[in-house]
Amino acid sequence: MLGLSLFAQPAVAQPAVAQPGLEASTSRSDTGEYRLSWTVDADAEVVLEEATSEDFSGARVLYEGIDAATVVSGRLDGTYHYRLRLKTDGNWSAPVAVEVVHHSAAEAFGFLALGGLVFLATAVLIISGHRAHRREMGAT
Amino acid sequence: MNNDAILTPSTGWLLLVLFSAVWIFLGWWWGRKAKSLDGYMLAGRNVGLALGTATAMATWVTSNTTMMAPQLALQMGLWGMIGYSLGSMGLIFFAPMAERIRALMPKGYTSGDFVRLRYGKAAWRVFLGISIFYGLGWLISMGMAGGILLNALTGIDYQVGMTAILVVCMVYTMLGGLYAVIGTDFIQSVLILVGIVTLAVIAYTRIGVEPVYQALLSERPGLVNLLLPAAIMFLFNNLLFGLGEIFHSNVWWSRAFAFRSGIGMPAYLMAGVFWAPVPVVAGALAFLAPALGINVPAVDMVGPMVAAQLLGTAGAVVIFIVVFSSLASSLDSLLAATSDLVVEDVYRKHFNPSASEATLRRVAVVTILVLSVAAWLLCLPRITHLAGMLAITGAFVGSTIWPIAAGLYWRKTNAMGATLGMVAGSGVGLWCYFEVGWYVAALVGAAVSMLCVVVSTALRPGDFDWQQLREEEPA
Repeated sequence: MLGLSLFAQPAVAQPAVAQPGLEASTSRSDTGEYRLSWTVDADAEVVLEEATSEDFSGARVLYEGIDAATVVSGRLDGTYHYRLRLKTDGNWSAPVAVEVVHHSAAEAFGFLALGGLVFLATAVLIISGHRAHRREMGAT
Repeated sequence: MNNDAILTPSTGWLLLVLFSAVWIFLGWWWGRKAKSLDGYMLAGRNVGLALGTATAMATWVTSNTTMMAPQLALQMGLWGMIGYSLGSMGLIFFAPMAERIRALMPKGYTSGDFVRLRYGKAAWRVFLGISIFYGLGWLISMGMAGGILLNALTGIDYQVGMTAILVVCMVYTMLGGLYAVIGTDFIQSVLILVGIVTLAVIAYTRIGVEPVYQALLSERPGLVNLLLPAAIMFLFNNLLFGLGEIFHSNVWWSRAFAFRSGIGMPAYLMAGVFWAPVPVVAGALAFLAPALGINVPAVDMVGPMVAAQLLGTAGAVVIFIVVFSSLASSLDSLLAATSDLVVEDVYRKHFNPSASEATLRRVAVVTILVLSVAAWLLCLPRITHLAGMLAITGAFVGSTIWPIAAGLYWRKTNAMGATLGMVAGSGVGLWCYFEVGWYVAALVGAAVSMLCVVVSTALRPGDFDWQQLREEEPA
């Protein structure tokens, strides 16, 4: 209740309309990709905003329309804040934050090197094996 | 779920019924040639170069290629698209292996036969578990793709569309066996190539490369970052996933047995070369989404949505034909090959060694039905997205690369190393799937398995006699 009251915005229109529910598929992403979904009445138009600051200063409209979800991808490191409202109503949903922390370069290049090693070893196995096979077939 | 469907549900049903009728008719038509078990399971072991190349390429262009390549481009950017294209290395590396398989096992039926004869029963049973699990995972991902496709383009409910597509593919595979699968694959591969190239050319001609790049840079900057860490980790993972899928799966072994002698190597090489650009072209469609201002409600819907949005009804129809063809060409192959594995390796070898040819054929038909129903039940809840669904099998298939490849070429590789490689590779790969990310599971599975095989071969070298692979034909 305390959390709700802290995030509550002053009502600007039709306070009887229920606050839309906004959810993120994860609160921490290491790929910069996640999904936001919301529950509103069917065909209700919504406005979804994204901001990099908690107070939504400099927020931008990420989506406007009647879909019930959106996929966010290609985000760089940082914390991204989201809020949603019905187009016909000024009540914002409770904000949702997703922290993007990509894998470290060492981890990324470590897996790249391991993959490269397995690939090269497999290539050597098959090429040398195929040559030996051709020699065997030629001999028989 | 999708309020942006371009086609009406009735148009969707019309297309579905039309193409279903064509595939089922062709299944029945070609199926008439399958008089014997060899005919039904291996198309008489007489498939030539053109059909061989087309069936290998069409089967590898799955609904996962046409729908997951755009998904991976949207998730991982440029490396996602290129990484998916590296799956072609699976076909290219399997080309020389197909030649050796045909030479060592001229009367072979399944990949399970090879593992049983090469490594014995313990490794064989582990392998069967992995192979059937993977087959089911792939079937589920394709059933899901069918449902998602129809929903994205026509608004038809996911469960209804998924059910319809599974039923159609099951019926024509049951009717025709591998003859039907290979014949329809040829037509489907032509439709896929023409359709996907047309879509991409029209799309980029209409929008232009520069606006697409600028929109990506401002809306999704990570996608054009060549140092995106998850994408770098994914690059070799997908290549090794492709190798694991092809090296172990009976889908590819059954073709190696079915091709005429001398055809396997050029057919798989050409299929790999023709396949490589397909995910790049399909994946590039996803990059258009920001420039077109398209909202993507589910990541695996992006390909069909972009095509439909950009090209209207005509684009939606083309993408429907492309994905339905790619889906059918793989679903039928997988049903047929998994059914062969169950019939030959589970039913005949474990329960009824003296089964007659007629009995085996009946069991094959029942197996196709059971596999389809199992896949349908598991598709219903749509538990994850397409890439996540398939990647969970990555740890398992990655762990089969070295046991299969070293087993084919090295006399000294032993059963203990192969079995340990599959078990430890699967276990550690699965752990990484949950602890690091789905994009490293196959890579880790393959690395651990390679280590087990190489170390055990060095420490306890065997001396396998290749003649042991020449087993008598089944009953």
